[in-house]
Amino acid sequence: MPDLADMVQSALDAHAADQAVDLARSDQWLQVRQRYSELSVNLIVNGHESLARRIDREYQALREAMRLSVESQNGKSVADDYALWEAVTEFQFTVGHLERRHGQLESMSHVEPAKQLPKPASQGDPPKRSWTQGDLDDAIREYKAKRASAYQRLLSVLDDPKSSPSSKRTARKQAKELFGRNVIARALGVKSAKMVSQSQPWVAIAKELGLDRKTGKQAGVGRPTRIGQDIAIEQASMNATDTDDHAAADAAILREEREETLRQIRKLAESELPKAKESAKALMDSFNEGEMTDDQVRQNAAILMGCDDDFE
Amino acid sequence: MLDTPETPDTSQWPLLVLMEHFNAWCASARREDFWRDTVEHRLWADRLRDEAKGIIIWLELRGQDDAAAQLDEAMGAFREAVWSFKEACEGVYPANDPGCRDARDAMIDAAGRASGVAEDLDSELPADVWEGFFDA
Repeated sequence: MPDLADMVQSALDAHAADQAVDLARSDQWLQVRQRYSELSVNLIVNGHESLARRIDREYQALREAMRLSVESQNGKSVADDYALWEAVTEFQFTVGHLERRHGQLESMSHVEPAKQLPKPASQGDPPKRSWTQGDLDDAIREYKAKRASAYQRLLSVLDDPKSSPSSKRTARKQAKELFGRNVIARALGVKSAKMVSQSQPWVAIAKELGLDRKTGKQAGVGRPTRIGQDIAIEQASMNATDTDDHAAADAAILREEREETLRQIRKLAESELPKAKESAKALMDSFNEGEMTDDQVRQNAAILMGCDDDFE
Repeated sequence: MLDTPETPDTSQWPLLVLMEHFNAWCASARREDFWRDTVEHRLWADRLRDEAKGIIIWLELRGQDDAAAQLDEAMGAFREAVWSFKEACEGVYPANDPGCRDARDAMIDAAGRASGVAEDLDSELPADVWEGFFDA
């Protein structure tokens, strides 16, 4: 795994003479952000909460300094903006020491990974691949066409004012199991379920069948708030990678997927559930070792947190 | 044969090493040639921040959060003083500017306080806290 302190240093080497916005939008900085998330979750699942709080605090301070620098448009370079420079170096010192003590962080862990994790049902889903929105829309139409009779049956129950509440409930559950966002994403091998949410054919299905549609904002409700998620510069940095270039788009999707997976592990680790940290550590270990995919980790976390309905 | 006073070996005690490094920095900053090397002193101050951060991280790793917070606070005050010094001395001929000289003195005071905190903590913390410190 790359050393985060070195990654910060590379970002600074490349952008110290540029303005803060250039640093925030750089690929190097996106990588720093992701690696920071991993390190923070690693600390939590190993029971080092005060260290996790420290890097969270310092990363937040750094982002705030970056935001102020971008907003003030003071024309200063990263190296000449003392507040920003100080925040970056504080963060860099901290992660540098944490990286150097990587082995000790593991050996001084207060948490033993859980020996057993739930086994989500294997569905023989196709491998994930990248899609263009147009191709995905067509595939969703085809998916619906192949299940047209079931679709009509569900619709007739849901639309019939004479249907009993319990049969409507059952129909809604079946609708979710057949046409839910994540179900379709898995069935078609879509890397980012978000693309399904953005698909007009799926939005129409969801509307007709009364499925919950998680828009970007709704999906965030109830989750631990990402630090400064609404900071404009970070949004700008996300948009910067949003190009037609397949490789860049793929990298952005994978990064987003990974960050979402890390958020779920963190949510589990910070929950009040019995053996939450042990399970989260086992998931993190499997994820780091490449033994589990993003989807498998998230399904496991959802089952453990008793909200596996989210995966239907 | 002359008795030579024994110099205590502080190298195994990270807080005492930090204290000595701070004291050396203060002594150098008090000298008149400080004004020729302000950039070098800032880099030196950054090295002290890094060294202190290593100790703070270790203390938190060993569950000594209160001690870590004390050193952290002293280092925060030192960083602020370094910042004020830079602000006060920008655009003036530093050695002749009273505001800049005052800011230098305040910076030395903050470094002295951080050094004192390091010394106090060293005497308060149990020795076994440092087991493994040099193993990284």
